Amino acid sequence: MWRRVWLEFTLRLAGSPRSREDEPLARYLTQERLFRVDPPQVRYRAFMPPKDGKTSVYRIAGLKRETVWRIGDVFVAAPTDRTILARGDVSPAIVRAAGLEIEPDNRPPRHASIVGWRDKDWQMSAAQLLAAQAVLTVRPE
Amino acid sequence: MNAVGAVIEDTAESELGRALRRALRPTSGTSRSAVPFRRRLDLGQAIEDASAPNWDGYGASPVDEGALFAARAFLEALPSSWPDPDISVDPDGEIAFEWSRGPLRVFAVSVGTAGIASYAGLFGDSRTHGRETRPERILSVVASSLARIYPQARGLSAVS
Repeated sequence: MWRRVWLEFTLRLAGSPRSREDEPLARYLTQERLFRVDPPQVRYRAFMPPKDGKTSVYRIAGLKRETVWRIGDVFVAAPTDRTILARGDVSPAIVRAAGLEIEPDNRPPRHASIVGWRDKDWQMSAAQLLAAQAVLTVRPE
Repeated sequence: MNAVGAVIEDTAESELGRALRRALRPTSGTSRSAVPFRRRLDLGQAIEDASAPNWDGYGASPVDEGALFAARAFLEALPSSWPDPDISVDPDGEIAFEWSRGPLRVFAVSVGTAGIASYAGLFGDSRTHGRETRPERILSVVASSLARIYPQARGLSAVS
């Protein structure tokens, strides 16, 4: 709880950078089946939305490497007692090219949603486009 | 029966499951066989991984029962000689089957309670996606898509 409060405080204090088309949006991955290491590949399912139609991502531009992983630990993994194994980063330009939009809400700080998903088959196709261009970063040991 | 088999077999089959099973029966010329152990194991593991709400930390729905029966029917209809798919649960509770040879060679089918198979593929610069409400067409779509991912594979024309 303290970790979350402290992280939210420090992130709000630092503020959010202005949106840019090439800023990285991180999708944290808690399952091995959502990525491959060799060759590096983020699976399309990593970007599929839940039933509310919002794929949760975090705007990580300008943050230290440790802070980027801490966001995943505190905001994504901790509430469900999971471990962040990797992340797939995409840019707003890639998201929009796939026909989707980004909705920053800053709840928690730096949080945004990829929205605009249509029918299921369209979702799968758009997610495949995102995954094809996503940059995989496996968490260091 | 192994534990995974028990997971799949012991649940009472719904009307939808029976309907899908009938509908997904392979067309003539394709031999029907038991689902290979590897595929049953993967399905069981995928179900186990996604059995609780919010299993991905992002609000995913647990796998739904209708999807389980649809998935079993799909696996029974899938010829054992075809490449094995990666099996997983989508955040909406449907079960997905994915074949991939890198990020630009990927095809996936997702089945759920509604009896609709949604599919999408990325083949280099070209894409395909759609939905099949006629289950007998699903295998044909899968076969033609896998032939684009695995051009050296044999037997993919069995139902196309």
